[in-house]
Amino acid sequence: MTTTTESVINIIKDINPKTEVDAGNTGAVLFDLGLDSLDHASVLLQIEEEFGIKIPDAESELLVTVDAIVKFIGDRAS
Amino acid sequence: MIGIGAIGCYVPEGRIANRDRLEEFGVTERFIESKLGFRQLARRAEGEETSDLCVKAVAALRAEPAAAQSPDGIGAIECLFLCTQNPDGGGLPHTSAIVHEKLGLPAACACLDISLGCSGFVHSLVVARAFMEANGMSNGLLLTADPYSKIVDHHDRNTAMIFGDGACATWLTDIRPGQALLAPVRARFHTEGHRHRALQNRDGVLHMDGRAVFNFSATAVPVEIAGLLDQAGLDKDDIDLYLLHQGSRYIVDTIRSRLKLDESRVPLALADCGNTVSSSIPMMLRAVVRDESVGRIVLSGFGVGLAVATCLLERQALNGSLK
Repeated sequence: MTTTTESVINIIKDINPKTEVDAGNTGAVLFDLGLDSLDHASVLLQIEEEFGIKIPDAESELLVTVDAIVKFIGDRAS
Repeated sequence: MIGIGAIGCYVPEGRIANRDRLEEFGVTERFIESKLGFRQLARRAEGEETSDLCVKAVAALRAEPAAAQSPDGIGAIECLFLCTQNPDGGGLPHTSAIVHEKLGLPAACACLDISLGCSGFVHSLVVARAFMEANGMSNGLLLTADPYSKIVDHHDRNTAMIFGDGACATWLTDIRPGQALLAPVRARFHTEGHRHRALQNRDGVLHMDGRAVFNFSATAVPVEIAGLLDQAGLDKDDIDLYLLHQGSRYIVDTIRSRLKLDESRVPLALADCGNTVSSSIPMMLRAVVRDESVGRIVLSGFGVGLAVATCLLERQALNGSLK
């Protein structure tokens, strides 16, 4: 598991500890793992702040798995 | 010096139960309880206008012990401020003039409408106090009434489970010998006009970009509160209560958590009436306005604009602050 993946999972768990997300299901849709729309908005805000990036609305709707979020962060960093 | 003499609130009897709409909006009861925080939304009766809500709030104010037991009641009102963005008719004339007629107030009374949303009570409180002190006035009313049922699309998932109707009447009065009233002593304001489209009445229907409003509130409000405390030379533990606009349970919890405030100092309210816009803060303030164990309160209203207004209330007597 990369550092970014670990950070993203930690952010999600921090915002909603009941979310059943871990290193083994990073491709699963977060809404199926217990995250709701408000938690999702909160996760994206935390990611914007922690990684110093902006997530446009059009992109935010696609960032519904840990893998997608990690890829987005990687693309922005490069 | 002008302080808050008493607050009266009116919540219409009509209710919409959010639990009856779980299927329509694809949400769970747990989401409603733990995230929205609103079990029911208050709804005005058919034909009940914004000015009617105000008149009923003033009736509730007159019945408040602090007002009723005052030697001359709330006295002759010299100014009336009405904060609303959902006025009677099209807003011409200003609804405060209609309330003036319905209450039978004297001609020597300034009546102004203030157009603000969820930050409206705090903005208006500061404006009203300054207006009264600048003009040597002793008795004023600050009314908040913003019935969003006029503009909510009842099938819009973003807004239909949040807003409730209600009104508050806040009596602003000179602090007399022997009294200790809460007064706004310091305030901060923040506006991001370039984000105004995030919360907007378009062709008579409310539109809300939930993510934009959430991001704004979660980032701007903690900064404003921390900035206010810093300017006042106070620590967060010097404040007895933080009364935050009740946008939703989730946003209040998020702001509290970001400021690392104790839950007991950041009350949640309005589960049985919904987000009443500019009335949400005075509805909470009403219960503590004459509780002398509460000496310092931070109020923060945020939303439409997008804007935040934050102020520090301190219990004041004629010889100065009691804190």
